[in-house]
Amino acid sequence: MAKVLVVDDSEFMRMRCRQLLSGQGYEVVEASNGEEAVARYEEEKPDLVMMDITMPVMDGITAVREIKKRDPQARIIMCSALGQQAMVLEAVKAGAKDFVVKPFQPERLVATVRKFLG
Amino acid sequence: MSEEERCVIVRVGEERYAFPIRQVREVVSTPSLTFVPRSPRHVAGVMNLRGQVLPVVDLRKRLNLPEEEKRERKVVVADWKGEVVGLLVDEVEAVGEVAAAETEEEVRGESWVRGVARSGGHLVVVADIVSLLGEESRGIS
Amino acid sequence: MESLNASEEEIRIFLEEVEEQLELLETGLLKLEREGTDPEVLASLFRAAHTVKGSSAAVGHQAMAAATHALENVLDRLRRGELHPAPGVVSVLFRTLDVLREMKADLAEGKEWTGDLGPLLRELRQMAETPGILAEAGIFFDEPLEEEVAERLREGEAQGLVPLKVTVRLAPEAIMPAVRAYQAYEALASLGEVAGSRPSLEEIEQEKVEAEVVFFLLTREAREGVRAAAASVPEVLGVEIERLGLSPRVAENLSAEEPGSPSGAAREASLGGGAAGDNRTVRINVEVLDRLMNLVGELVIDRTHLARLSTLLGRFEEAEEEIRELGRLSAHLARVTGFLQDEILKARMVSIDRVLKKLPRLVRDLSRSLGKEVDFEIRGEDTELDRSVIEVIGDPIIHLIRNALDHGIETPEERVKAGKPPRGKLVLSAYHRENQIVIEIADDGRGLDAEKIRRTALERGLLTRERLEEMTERELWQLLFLSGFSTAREVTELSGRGVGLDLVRKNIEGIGGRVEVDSHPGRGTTFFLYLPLTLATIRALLVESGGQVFAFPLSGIVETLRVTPGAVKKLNRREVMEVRGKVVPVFRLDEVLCLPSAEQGNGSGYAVLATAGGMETGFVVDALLGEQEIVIKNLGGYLGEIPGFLGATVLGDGSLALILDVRGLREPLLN
Repeated sequence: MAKVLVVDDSEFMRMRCRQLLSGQGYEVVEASNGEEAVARYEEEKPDLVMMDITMPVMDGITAVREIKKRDPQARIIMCSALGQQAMVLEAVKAGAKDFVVKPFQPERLVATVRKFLG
Repeated sequence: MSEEERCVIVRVGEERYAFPIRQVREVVSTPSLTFVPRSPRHVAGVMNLRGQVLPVVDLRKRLNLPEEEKRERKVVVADWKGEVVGLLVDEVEAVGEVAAAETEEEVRGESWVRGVARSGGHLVVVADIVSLLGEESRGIS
Repeated sequence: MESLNASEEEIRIFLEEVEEQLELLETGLLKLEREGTDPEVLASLFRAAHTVKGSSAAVGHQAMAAATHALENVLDRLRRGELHPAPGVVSVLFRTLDVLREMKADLAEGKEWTGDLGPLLRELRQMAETPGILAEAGIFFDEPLEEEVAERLREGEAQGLVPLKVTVRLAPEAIMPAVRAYQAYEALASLGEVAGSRPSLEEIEQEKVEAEVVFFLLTREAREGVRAAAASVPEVLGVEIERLGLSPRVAENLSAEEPGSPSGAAREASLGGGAAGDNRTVRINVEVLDRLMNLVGELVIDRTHLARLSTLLGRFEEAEEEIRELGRLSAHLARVTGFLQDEILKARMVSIDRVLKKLPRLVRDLSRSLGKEVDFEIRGEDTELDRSVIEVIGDPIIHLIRNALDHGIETPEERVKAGKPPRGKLVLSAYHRENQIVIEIADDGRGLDAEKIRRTALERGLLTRERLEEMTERELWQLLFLSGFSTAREVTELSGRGVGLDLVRKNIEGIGGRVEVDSHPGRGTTFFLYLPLTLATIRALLVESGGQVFAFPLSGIVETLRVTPGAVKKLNRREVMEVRGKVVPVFRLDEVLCLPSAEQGNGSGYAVLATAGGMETGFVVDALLGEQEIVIKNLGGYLGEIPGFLGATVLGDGSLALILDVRGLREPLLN
């Protein structure tokens, strides 16, 4: 059973992702900011990370960097709002593999996750 | 020629001939011949030798031997002036050392006969393929 | 024409001037195309465009003024060495020239030119404005590139990497195209080096990305791999890969290890005005083919040994079954390597059209500069020849054509005086005959002057007067081919760089061919080039007759018909058939060739109507087996030339079929 780490400072967003993904049979763990995300990644060793960009304490891009430092093979998908192209670009440079745009259509999200997890 | 020479010995009808091996490239079994209309009588046809067109001379006809029913025959592929020409024979009997015995002029006859020898209990005519084939197919009557 | 502010008289003069300048442009462009950069040529081209720009503006022809203005800008860059006359560039210039001609023609007829200048102007503008295309000779690219990018591509190529232009098309609904573009960049960069891109990496990072991104990649990866990498990026609609254009010289010296993909739809960059890329072709270096040939040659030696072994072993009684199996394997190997050989030979086949393509323009060019009017016809342009033969005949053909135009065909006035139509006729025919390919260059000009030849020979001390008097006309004509015979006139610029007929003969004989000439004073001259045909292929119709398969060269076939009983009638002791109102002599092929007849000559079967020398003959066969491309194989020196046969070909099942020569078959029959 594949494990997905959902990182977002909005509890609502995390809940929606959780519902969607666990409905597809994935195990979901959560973090509410970048720093937590790095820690949770170490603990849980998820197969995929859904990372929000704008978060307090540590933003998504920095988190990507930190996680990649520890695990170069980490698969991270950014969850971005419209108009954050430059930041997504940054994230991809830092090592993110793909992105979805919020508000995301459920099928889109699932399809993207499936692409990486099978 | 009284030294021994390695030859390919073939049989056509009841007669046997020996060709010096250095003149022979290879032997092909059960050739698939294509008849060439308007070609000289002794030319049996042409065959595909690995993509090359190989003209094949029927040794029976060339030697004016009586025709026989078609059986499995072989083609001796020989070097001829930088090209290759095939000789259709009934059988390739052996490859061996042959020493031509001294012969009388009358026995020799044709220009392509180099001598006569004994091999495997038979009398064998040692022949020079290039002369046997002639300058070109039409030169043979 | 109302839109022009000029009187009729002024327009007339304008048209004359434009015509002159267009001629200059055409000549100049042809030179540029053939010989590359030449400051004088470029200067003259610029002047011509400049002149037309000025006058067309003066008479108010806005379209022409705009076109020539754009043209002038490009020519300016060329003459200043800031732009290299790459084939892509020159072809745009030619197109501009054609458009100008159209405009002039329409004006001359009082019509308004109704074309759309937009796309052409855009292209010209792009060429005039894009920075730094290499002005260096050697490697250059068809693509407008920044200096550093082109530099890097050249370096990379010298190191053995392959420069590819990878066009990545993004889905229109992609919300963050810049991210996708960047991902594509990363994917490609992992396979080699991205020397540059459009938009550039900076621009990508500044999010200045639209629907398409072009990457210039240096890599050793096969195209399929590159395609897969780029296509793996989400929201990528399509990927197109092209090898970047090179100068023809460099293409020939190309490193053999081209990571080409046989299945990939790789488009070829055009060379020297060549045809636009065909998706089903891959360019192969001649050296690669030669190496393949050598390898096959080694295979052939091995299979000979194998065959011999197999036969010799066959004399042993033990292990008979295994021996037979070995024999079968050996035979199969022989067949397969034979086909391999054939395919490689075929790969070297090139259509003669390649050489003939530029001739019409050349003829038009030359005839105009010589003040002659000529109708030029080409026949048999789909004849195929071995590459090495093609390479040699190009120059000789051009020389013979120039000869015909220069010395053969007379000016319209001379022709009319001689009772001929003012337009001369020049025909180039390429066809197969018996063992060879024949190229005829025939003109209906003044023919060879025997007396003049004698005189020249005397002047040059080539022969004594007595000998000359003895010689027949045919022998005299052969003198033309003697080195030292070329008159000063032949070495004029028009006739080429001093390529005399002696060189023509040498070149042709060098590949095992021969040159002949036939002439009738006052009526014309024909040059014949006979070329070795051993490696040539033709399309043929396979038929069955007398229990054998034969091949009719398709080029000589008019049509095929089913022969119904009673269709063949007797006329004057000959058998004939009525076809489309014509009465055609008919023969049964198996009778002609003295083969056992399948049917008892009631005339059923199929009739193949073949033409040779302008006459049609019908040959009745038992069955039509279909069309095929065949490799013509010589019958060899032992059999020599057998009239009626061009050679033989290997069929799919390994057996041989004889190829018929209609002319040779027919001659004895109709005499």
